[in-house]
Amino acid sequence: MKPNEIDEQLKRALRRCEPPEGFADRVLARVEREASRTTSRSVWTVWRWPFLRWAPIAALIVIAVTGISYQVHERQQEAEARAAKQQVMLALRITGSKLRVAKQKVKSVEAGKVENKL
Amino acid sequence: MKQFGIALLVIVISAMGARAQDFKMPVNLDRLAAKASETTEVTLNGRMLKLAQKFMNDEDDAEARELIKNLKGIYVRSFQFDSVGAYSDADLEAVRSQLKSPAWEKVVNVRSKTDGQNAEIYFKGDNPDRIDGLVIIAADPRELTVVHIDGPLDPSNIEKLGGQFGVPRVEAHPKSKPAKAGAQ
Repeated sequence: MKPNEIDEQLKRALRRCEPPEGFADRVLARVEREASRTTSRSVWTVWRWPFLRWAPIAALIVIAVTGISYQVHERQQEAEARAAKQQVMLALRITGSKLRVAKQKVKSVEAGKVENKL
Repeated sequence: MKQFGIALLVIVISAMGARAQDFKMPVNLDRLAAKASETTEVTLNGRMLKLAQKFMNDEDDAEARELIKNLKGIYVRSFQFDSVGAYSDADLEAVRSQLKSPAWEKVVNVRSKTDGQNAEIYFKGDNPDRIDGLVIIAADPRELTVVHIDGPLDPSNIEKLGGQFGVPRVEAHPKSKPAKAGAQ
């Protein structure tokens, strides 16, 4: 093939020609359609992930379990504290009564000594 | 190096000394529970005392709350027996052996031959304004009680202790001479 022939072919191939009627509108319409389809598909795809689908339910369960555990813990601690308080009062009562016994004994002995001296 | 060794030895000895001052309820006392018709056991460590304080908000609890505020523990073992001679003096030896001078001082020692009611009170520490611990041994022919209050107690609190909780007040005189009383 001669160089002139190549030039001619290129000129023919690259010559300016008008697009068919309505081409630009069709292209724009298709672009718009494709864009909207991509967006809806991506949201749907994300929603179809099992993790995300169950996430709100899981979050609710976690919140509920945490709340219940906290309440149970609080109640247990309250019961423990009440029992501890009772134990404290019992221990102090016993201690007080034993101190009183010791005091009475000391007093009676001292009284006895005074009587002996008299 | 030698100085370091001596310093270490001093630290170890002081630590051992401090540990030796600590009183622990002897295990053999708990064995008496098997012979007892009634047993009262109170074991309250520092954590439990703090927990109890949370629910001592009533006006009636104010003094008890103040009393236990700085305590490290309260321990009570009390046994009531159906028969005389269910326990012996040897059972108390493990208690008394821990209450040695200079850490502990016996401030009351009552031994009665008439009714067999014996009482011993020991204070810990040598600060006249503060008692670092209290042990009471109250022994009747049919009852034995050991009380250990661990932690700082104001002498006035001991007075309160005797006066509150449904029993009359007792006058406490820390560091006073032991009242070696009674028909010993």
